[in-house]
Amino acid sequence: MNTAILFISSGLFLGWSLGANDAANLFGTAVGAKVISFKTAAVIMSIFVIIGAVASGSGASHTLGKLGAITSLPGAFIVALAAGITVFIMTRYGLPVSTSQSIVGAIIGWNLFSSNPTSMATLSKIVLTWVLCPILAALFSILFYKLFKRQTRTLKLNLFYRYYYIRLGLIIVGAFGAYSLGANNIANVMGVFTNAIDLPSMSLYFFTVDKTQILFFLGSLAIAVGIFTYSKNVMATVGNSLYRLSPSTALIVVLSSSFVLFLFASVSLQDLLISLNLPPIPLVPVSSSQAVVGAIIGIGVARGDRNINFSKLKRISFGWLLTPTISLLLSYISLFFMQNVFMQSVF
Amino acid sequence: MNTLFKKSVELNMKIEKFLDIISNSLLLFEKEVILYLEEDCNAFNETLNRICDLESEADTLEIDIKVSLYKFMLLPDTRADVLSLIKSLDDIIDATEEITKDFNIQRPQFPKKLHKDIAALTLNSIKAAEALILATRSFFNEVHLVSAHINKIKFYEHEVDILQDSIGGIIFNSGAVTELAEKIQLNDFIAKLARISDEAERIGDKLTIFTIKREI
Repeated sequence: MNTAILFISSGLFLGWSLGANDAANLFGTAVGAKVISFKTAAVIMSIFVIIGAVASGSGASHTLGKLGAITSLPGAFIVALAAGITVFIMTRYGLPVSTSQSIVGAIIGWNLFSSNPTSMATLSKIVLTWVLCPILAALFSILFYKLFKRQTRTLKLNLFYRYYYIRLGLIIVGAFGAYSLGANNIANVMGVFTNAIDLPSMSLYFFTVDKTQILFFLGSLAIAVGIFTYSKNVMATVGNSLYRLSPSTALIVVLSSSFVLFLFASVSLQDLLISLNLPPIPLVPVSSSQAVVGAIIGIGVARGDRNINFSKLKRISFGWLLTPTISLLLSYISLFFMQNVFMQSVF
Repeated sequence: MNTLFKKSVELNMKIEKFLDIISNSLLLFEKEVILYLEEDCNAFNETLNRICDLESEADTLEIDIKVSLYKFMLLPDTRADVLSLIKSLDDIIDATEEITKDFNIQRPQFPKKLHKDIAALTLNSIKAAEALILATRSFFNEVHLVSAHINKIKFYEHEVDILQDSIGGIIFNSGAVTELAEKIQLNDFIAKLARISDEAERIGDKLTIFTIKREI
C-alpha cells in the first residue's frame, strides 16, 4: 500500500499543479472583485471538483486508457511524473501549457518505449478535440453573450439587482466549472493509474466505491490542496487574463468554458446522444485555460472587435505541438532510467 | 445572499429618494428665481427654507448611501462609479442652495427688460439638470436610454450658453446698467445660474463613460 502511494505521488503532484493553476480561471474574477472570499471560493471549488471527479471522471479517463493502457505502477508513475515536470518547465518559461496535452505526450512516450501500438484513431480524436475545445468555447460565449445582452434589455433589471444576480451567477457558474474541471481533468491526474493499480472496492453505508473512484477521490483531493495552497497567488497575478474581465463578461467566459469541459466529460450526455442516434461527443480531457482563451475571443467576436489577438492563438497552437513533444521525450528517457537503473518493470 | 438582496432593494430605494430630493430642489429653485424677480419676499424666504431643508436631507442621505455602498454592495469598480455619481449630483443641490442664499444676501437688481431672459435661462438650466436626473435613473434601470437623456442635457446647456451671451451683452453694452461693479455682479449671477447646466453637462459626460463601462 505504501509503495502504491509512493507511485501515485507523481499523479498527486500533477493534481496539485492543476488545482493551483486552473482554479484561478473559475473564481479569479469573483474573488478579485470581492464577490466571495477566497476561503469560501476554495471550499466550493474543492467540493465540486471532488464530486465531478468521483461521479463523472471515468469517461475522459477511458479515452486515455484507449490511447495507452499502462499496466505497470512504476510505468504509470513515470508517465505522470514526465507530464508533471513538463507542466512545471513550461510554466516556468511562461509557455502555454495544459496537463491534458502533457499527459497524452507522456502516454505516447510509454507506448513507444513499451512497443505498444498507439491507436491513431484515438490520437486523432484527442487532437481534434483540442482544436475543437477553444472553437466551441468561442461559439458558446458568442451565444451566451447574445442571450445575456438580449435578456438584460428585456428584463430591464435595476443595476443593484443585476449585480446581485451576477454575484450569485458567478458563484453558481464557478461551482459548475469546478464540477466540470473535476470530471474532465481528473483523467490527466489519475487516468494512467487506473489499469496499473489494484485496490479493493470500499463499501460505504449507502454505496460502494470502486478502485477508480478511490483513485479519482485521491486525485481530486490533490487538486483541492492545490486550490487551497497556491491558487490564491495565481488569482492575484495581474497576468491572469480572467482577473481583469468585468464580472458580467467573466460570468459568460466561465460558463462557456465550463460547458465545453462538461461536454467533453459527460457520460450521460454521450449516452443521450447515442440513444437519439446523434454522433457522440468524444470524452477527452481538454485544457480549461484554452477553453477560457477561446471564450474570451468569442466575446470579442460577439462585440464586433476587429483586433483579435492572433498571437495568443498562435501560442496555443504552438503549445499543442511543444507540450506533448517535451513530455513524450521526458517520459521515454525516464522510463529507460526506471527500467535500467532502478530495475523496475515499467510495462 | 438573501440579506444581500434585501440590501440591494434598500439601497435602490435610498438612491431613488435621493434623486427625488434633487428633482424637487430643482423645481423649487426655478420657482425661487421667479419669486425673486417678482419681488415676492415672503414666498421667496419660505422657498429658501425649503431648499435648505432639502439640501440637508440630501446630505444625510448621501452619507447613508455611501455607507451602504461600502459596507454591503456591488463590485468595487461599479461602487466607485456610483459613489462618484452621487457625489456629483449632490454638488448640483449644493449649487442651488448656494445661489439662492447669494440672491438673499446680495439682492442683485436686474433691469426689468432682462427678467424674461433670466427666467428662460433658469428654466433651460433646470431642464438640463432634470435631463441629468432622468439619465441617472436610466443608468440604474434602463441603461440604453441614457444617451438620449445626455443628448437633451447638451441641447439645454447650449441654449443656456446662447442666453448667457445675450444677457451678458445687454448688461455690459445696452446702458441699462451703469455702474461697472453692478455690471460685474449681475453678470456673475447669470454665470451662477448657467453653472447648473454646466455642472449637468460635466456629470453627463462622466455618466456616458460609466454607461459604456456597464455595457457587457
